[in-house]
Amino acid sequence: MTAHLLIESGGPQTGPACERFLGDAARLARDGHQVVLFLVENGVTAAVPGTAPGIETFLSDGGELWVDTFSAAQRALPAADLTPRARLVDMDDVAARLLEPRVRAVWH
Amino acid sequence: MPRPVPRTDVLLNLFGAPHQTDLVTSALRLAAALLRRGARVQIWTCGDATRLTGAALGDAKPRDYTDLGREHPSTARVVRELIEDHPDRLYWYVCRFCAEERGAAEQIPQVRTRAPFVFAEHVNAADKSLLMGVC
Amino acid sequence: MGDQARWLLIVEKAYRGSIETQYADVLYCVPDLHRQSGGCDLALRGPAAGYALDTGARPALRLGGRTLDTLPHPPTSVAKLLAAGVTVLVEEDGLAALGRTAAERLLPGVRVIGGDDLAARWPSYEQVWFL
Repeated sequence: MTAHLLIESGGPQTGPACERFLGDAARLARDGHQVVLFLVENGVTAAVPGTAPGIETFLSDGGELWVDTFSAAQRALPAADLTPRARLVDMDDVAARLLEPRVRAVWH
Repeated sequence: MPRPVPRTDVLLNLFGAPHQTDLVTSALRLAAALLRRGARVQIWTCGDATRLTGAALGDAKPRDYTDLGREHPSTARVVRELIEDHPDRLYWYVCRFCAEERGAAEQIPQVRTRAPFVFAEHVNAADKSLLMGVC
Repeated sequence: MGDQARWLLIVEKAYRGSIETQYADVLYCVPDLHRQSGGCDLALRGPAAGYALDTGARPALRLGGRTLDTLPHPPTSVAKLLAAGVTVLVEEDGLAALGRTAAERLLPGVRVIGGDDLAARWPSYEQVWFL
C-alpha cells in the first residue's frame, strides 16, 4: 500500500476536473491506500458542505481531509463553516508529509 | 563542463503561469516550508513561469501610483533572496527553451538556465517530484 | 445599481497570484475605469465573492528571511471602490459557496443579488465586461 498526498488547488468552480480528481482520491482510499487530500487556493471551498459531492465519498472511503489555513483565511472561510472532518493545516504540515519517504504526492 | 545536478529531497516543477492563480505563491510557500525543515530543494520553471526570474524585472515592481512611497518587490527579487538565504539547499533552474520563446532569456545570475532535454536528470536527482500547473 | 453606471464589470476569476500581483490585482484598475467611463458597477461572481468579505488583517508570508507584507488585500480594495462611488454587487450563489455564515462577513455597502438577476440588467449598460 502506498501513502498519497493529493493536492487540489482548483476547487468546485473548475467543474468536472475537480470532481474527477476527488474521485481519483476516493478510489485510492477505497483500494486501501492511505490518502491525505490537501485543499489549497480556490480548492479550499470544496470543504464547504454541499459544494463538492466527491468530498463526502472520499471521507466515507477512509480518506483524510486537510485544508490550507492561509487560503481559507484569504477567503474569510472559518473552520466552523467547513465539513467537520476537515483539518486546518499550515504549509509546514504539508512539507513534513511530503518529506516522509513513503509518501507520493500529486498536485492538481 | 556541465555541473552535475545536486541531489535534493524535492523537485518542484513549476509549470503553471503567474498572474492566473495562486500557484506561484503556493510553490514558494511550500519551498520555504521545506527549507525550514532542513530539506534540499530544486525548482524547475517552464512556460510563463520562466519570467518570474527574468533580469528585466529588476528588484521592484512598477510604483503603485496610489501609494508612491511604498516599494513592492519583484518576483525576481523574492526568488533571489530566497536562494541567497539558502545557498547550499535551494537551486532554481529555468527551461532555456521556454525562457527564449517568451523573450526572457536574460535571467538573474542566481538561477541557471537548462536545456529541456536534461529535465529527466533533475527528476532523477530528487527523491520526490511534484509537477505544479500546466504550461 | 448605480443610477449613472455605464459599464458593468464582472469579476469571477479570483486570487490570481498573491506574490506576483501584490497591489496590482484586478480591482486596482477599477477606480480609474469608473472615473474614465462616467461610472462603473462591479459584480463579483463565484470565487470572487470572497473579495467582498471581511478577512481581518492583510495576510503576510514568511519566505526565508523576508516577510512579505504587501500581498493583495481585496477587502481593502473593495472598501476603496465603495468610497469612490462604485456600486459593488455580489451574487448570492458565490457567497453561499464560501460558507453558511459568509453573509455575516460581508463588507458594509456591498449588495447581494440573485444568481440570474445580473443578466436582466445587462441591456441597461453600454459595456458588459468580464474582467
